[in-house]
Amino acid sequence: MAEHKDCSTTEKIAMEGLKVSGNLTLMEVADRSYAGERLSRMLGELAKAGVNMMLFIGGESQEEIRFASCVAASDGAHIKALMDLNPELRTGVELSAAVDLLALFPHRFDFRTLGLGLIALARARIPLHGFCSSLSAITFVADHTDLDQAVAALKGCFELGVEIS
Amino acid sequence: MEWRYPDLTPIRCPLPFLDDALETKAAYRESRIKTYGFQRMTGLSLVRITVHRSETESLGQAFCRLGEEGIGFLLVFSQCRGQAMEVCLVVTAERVGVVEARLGEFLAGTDRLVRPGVPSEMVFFQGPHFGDRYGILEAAVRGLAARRVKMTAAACSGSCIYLVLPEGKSEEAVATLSEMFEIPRASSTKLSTTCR
Repeated sequence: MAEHKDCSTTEKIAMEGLKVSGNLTLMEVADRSYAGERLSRMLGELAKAGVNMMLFIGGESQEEIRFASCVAASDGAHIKALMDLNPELRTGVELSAAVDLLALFPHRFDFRTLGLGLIALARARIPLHGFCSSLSAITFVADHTDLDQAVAALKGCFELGVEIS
Repeated sequence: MEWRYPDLTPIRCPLPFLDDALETKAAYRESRIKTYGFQRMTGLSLVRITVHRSETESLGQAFCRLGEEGIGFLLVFSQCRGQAMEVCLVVTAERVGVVEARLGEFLAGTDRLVRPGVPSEMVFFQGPHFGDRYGILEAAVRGLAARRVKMTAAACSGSCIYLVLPEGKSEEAVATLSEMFEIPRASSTKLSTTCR
């Protein structure tokens, strides 16, 4: 395996900041019997229930459709109620325990920022549920129970201007 | 308190200093959801990698090397399922070879699957308070599904919605989305293929 210097051997990278969004629930859906309309139907039901998605990651392959969404913990009950009313939407749905979003900004579309973040979190043994880029931020999804260690790990790698929570 | 009007796309603003029971909701009067216009990118490639979660550090090292070589991404997103982490990278088509090579080097000997890059295009857009509102991605997905415009992936965090489409489909997607969403008169769609 190739070797690479990392954040333990280089100076911290200056970032404008880190934004933490908490009190969230992760909803994951994986469906191998995807009929083509399920994503639209599921999103429609969530919209009707007024559920805002703080983060959405979805993809479709030849084998299945899979998507993950972070919603306010208080919306977890809305989602469970939807599943009860629409059993066909329940297939492959998992609602996790509390998660947080840690958004590091700006990423400048730089793989190094993403790489260093992943290395820092991996070394701190923070299991990730996922990550996603936007126009300016890289957002990591981690268990709420790991929040303090995750923030400390990222601070060990990046010089953060502001912390927003 | 809640004010609702028919056919609106509401904004939802929980106030953290108040009790949950006093959540405040407000709504825009919008018959069509406003956007700041659509950005369309062509000449891209979607690379999918599946690694064991224990290989996150090696994946990070591969990304660091790519960054040091001056290679950037347009969109990255990842989901985990059990111990498997699936990572999707959208990069320019001319960079896909080096991206696959570095992933191969750094993840050699690990239990990983790097699927060859798939020619892709991307559409992304923002609008007022998109990060705080519900129903916007749903409107986009519903519109595309109604016109049978196939979408490979979607990702949104913050206020920007990204749609990854098969090669040759972004123009049709923008035409469809333009029927669903309101776009500024001065600017409609910007086409871009530039990237590091």
